[in-house]
Amino acid sequence: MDSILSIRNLTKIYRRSHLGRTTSTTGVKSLNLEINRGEILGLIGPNGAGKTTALKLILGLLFPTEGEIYLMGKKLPDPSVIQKVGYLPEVPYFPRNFSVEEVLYFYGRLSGIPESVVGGRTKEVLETVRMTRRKGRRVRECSKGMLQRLSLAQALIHDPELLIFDEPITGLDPVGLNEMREMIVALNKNGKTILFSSHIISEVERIAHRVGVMAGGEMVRQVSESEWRDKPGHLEQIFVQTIRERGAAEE
Amino acid sequence: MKFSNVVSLSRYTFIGNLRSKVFLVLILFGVFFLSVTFLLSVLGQEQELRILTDLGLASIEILALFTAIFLIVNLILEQIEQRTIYLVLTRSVTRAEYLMGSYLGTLAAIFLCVAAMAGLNVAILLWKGWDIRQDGLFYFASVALSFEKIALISAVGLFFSLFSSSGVVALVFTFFVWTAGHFMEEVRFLLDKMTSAPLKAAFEAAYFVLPNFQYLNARDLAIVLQGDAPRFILDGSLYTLLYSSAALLLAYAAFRKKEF
Repeated sequence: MDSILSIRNLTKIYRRSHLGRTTSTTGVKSLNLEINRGEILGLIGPNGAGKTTALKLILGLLFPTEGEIYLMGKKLPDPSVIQKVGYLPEVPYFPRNFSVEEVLYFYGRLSGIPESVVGGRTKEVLETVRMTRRKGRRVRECSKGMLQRLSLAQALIHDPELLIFDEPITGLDPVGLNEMREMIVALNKNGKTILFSSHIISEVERIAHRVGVMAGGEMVRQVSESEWRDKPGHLEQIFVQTIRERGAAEE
Repeated sequence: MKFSNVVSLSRYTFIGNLRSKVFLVLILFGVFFLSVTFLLSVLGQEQELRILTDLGLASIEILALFTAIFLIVNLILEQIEQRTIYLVLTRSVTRAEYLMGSYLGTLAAIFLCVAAMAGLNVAILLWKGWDIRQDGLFYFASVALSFEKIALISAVGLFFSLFSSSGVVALVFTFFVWTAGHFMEEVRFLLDKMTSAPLKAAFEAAYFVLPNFQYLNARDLAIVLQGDAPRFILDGSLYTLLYSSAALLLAYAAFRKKEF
């Protein structure tokens, strides 16, 4: 299969100095991962497992201590190729004094969309996330659900090939959860490759084609859909068993 | 560096600043300062125009300084704290473009603030019978040089904010540099009188590292305007450009490897 993202031996060690003492914490340790074009890959793991660190390393918000990341064959960081990635953060962070439309216009321009096209593209994306009627609303006046949809819209504005979602379903109400699930599946059907992290295993089971189980900064197991298909709740069993086995091995 | 990214970021920063409460409060303070200047000028009787000009120019510079320090020090620190920086840096935007766009956008907002205040001050002066043909050149050159000082100190403030990662520390350091920068001629005078070698070395280092605002001092402009004023303005502008570029390069060095 055609690999879109390749992570090789990725390690991130956080070093903090305070009063002459340096402490080290391992965020991610020797991570190897391949994501194929058209795939939905879910990253699951307990708190502090290294899911967000791994995503931030791909996005260039953190720098690796060791290892390499290749996106579409190009070694990161590379501004030309990162343009093909859309990122949805765990919590939507937007400048509060801008309107929904202004936010999308701004991110569109920064994503390399020409001035003559960005207006039309903003309209399309607003329609996709069903926010056309709210386009004039200031960010500070938006509800949590609206912010989540705006967050998705900014990730889609430049029509990226790879979408990276950090905890996209955390904190959503049942309606929002259902909408987000449908959106992820629809985007994938339209050819987008999706990498996402989540705590909600029952949802991951319904969305993902493949799952990576992370613990203590390491990828401890990769599970393909065939292992849990037609067995509701089985992914959770696999996850719990994997984490327990790892805990026992560490002891 | 991609020019369109710098323009987009400048525009976004400019609009964001104009809509921020801090900016509006500072503008109101500016109007208040100029109103006080107007009242004080009455005390000057036959020197009324001079007081209006001098206090007006001083008010513009001080207010521009406060606007610059508050906006620039919080510029990136606030975006890091609110995490709005995530969605910018995860696009095809280099850190140099981000820094340059944010700096220029803030300078544009400060320029607007300076222009608005100068406009108000000029209106008051004209109403009081000021002869713009006679004194206009000095006045506008003074405003331009004040703005250059602000551009320079903004670059220094940006460096401190990224180097220290603390708004308060950056604010204190920037204010110190601003104050010290106005006493460089005095430092030079002291250097000649000093006998202690380590102290002399420390003052010498300060003299060469800190900005010398004497090159942009509008008070001296009144004297040199009789002589080679364009040269004074050109040298000052070149000094601003070089010093600001050096400060921005240092800011970039501090920001280049920053993690979020």
